Amino acid sequence: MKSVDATLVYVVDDDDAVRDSLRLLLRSVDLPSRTFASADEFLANYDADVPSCLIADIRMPGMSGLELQEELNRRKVEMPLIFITGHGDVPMAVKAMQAGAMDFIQKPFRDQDLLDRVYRALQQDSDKREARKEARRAQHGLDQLTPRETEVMERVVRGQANKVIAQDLGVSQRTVELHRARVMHKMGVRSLADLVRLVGTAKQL
Amino acid sequence: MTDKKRPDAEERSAAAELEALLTAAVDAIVTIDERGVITSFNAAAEKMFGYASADVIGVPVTRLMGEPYRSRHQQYLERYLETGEAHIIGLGREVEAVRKSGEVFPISLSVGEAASGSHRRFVGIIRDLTTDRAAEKERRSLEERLAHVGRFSLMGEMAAGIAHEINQPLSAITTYAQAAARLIATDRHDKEALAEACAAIAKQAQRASQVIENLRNFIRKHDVEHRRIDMNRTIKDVLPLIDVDARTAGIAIDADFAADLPQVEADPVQIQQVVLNLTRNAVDAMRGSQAKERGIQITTSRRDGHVEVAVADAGTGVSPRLGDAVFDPFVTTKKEGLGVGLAISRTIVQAHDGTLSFRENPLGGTIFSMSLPVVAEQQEADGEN
Repeated sequence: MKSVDATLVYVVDDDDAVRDSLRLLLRSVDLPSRTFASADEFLANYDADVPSCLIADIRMPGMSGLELQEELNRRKVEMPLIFITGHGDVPMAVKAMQAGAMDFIQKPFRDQDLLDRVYRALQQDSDKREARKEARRAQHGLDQLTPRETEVMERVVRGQANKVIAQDLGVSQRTVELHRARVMHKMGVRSLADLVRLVGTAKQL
Repeated sequence: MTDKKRPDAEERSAAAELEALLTAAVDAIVTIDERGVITSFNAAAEKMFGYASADVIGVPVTRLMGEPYRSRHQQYLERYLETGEAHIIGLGREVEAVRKSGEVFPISLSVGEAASGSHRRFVGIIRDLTTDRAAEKERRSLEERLAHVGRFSLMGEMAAGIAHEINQPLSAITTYAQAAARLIATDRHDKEALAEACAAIAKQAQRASQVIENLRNFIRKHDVEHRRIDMNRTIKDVLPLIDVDARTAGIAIDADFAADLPQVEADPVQIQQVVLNLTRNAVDAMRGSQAKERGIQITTSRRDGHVEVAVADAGTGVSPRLGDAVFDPFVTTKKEGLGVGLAISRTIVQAHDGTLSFRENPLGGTIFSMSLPVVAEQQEADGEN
């Protein structure tokens, strides 16, 4: 899977053997990993800037998997989270999914099932990072607009015709067209559709 | 004449009274002279020993005795007559006697002395303890069976945790094997990783079988045997099972063992059962507790000739309304379980001449403690120190 190059899989499990076996499985498919025996240890060491995902045991002494998830949510870390659960932990897993976990897998699992989830999680993380980059680009464009251009832009994306905008703002239609062209240029888009999408992206930031 | 006749009549009447008394007595009453020869043997004695009185009067009393009393009796008697140093007179003792059939049986014997004029006699009052002993044995066997059932019930409550504890190594084995298969499938020949995987698989298989071994040792039927044990060692041996339970609930166990604890006389499995029961309860008490991260402390210490094992939790505490009733059977505040754990535990501890009690944990929660007497001569050594 070269598409998820330079990524890292974090593993948090209090069981030495389970943790180590996961490290070896990831190594067998050339996925780099970092393993931690506790949630605290992970929280002190993770790097939010590296494209990554997290595999965590849902049941751990000290900070549990669910508590780790809460903490990550509080820190606004959007690392995709795959929970490993034991038999009979399904209610807990459901809770985790409701709190935004990407997936869960029950022990013992098929390696392919886990790896599929890991690849999907890394893909999701990379998509999210891409989206955030896009949003930042959109915001950067929006920040360049003059107040008048912003007024025009807001009406354009709402679908108002140039004539309506001109009347609304008390300017000529020609002026609206000029503002509109500058908005398209500053935002780096060619069509109305692209503009609408990009402005929408910025709102997600 | 009349002066002489009257005491004679009184004597006769006294003798008749004594005769009636001996015949009516429920206990066997045997008298011997100072040489140890039987001089009287009442009806109860006849029944108890299976001899007619005519057969044993004039015979040394040692015939009724089991070893080692038989060989020592003459010696005891002589010493007493010489020095007045009594080993049994005035004290009741539990010894062994022999019936005509040769059956050895437990008796309680008390001996009194009657000295009149120049000769002395000794009166032995004997109670057959066979039925008492049988009843006690039966009670003990019932208690042991109850304790055994208690261990099963305990394991039943822990089933989820035990399944988890076996599932962990199995899960690791599965992943190691799958990783190994993938490593083989690549043409990198990552021998180091493969060797790692194989070694880990073997280790994890042993780990799983160890869990089953611990479990089997705990619930197997065994002959209860009070022997000298090291309390720390005994608790250490059951820690894996305790851990299973606590880890499942996300609670840490912290063991603090006093160094140089004197030995106690106990059945190790039953003691482990009590400790596991206490930690089990502690885990349950802490399930919903805010202070979960404080964990459970198991502490051993020596205190006034006793070894104390304390299990402290940070749980919700014992309701004051309940109080000592927590030790009654079928008293429970839990949804699961029968409520017999503490009742069985207390029975076990009492059969070990110990006490089981609880007190409030100053940090919040409850401390249950088991206290067992230190083996006698170690206690003396203790005093000298």
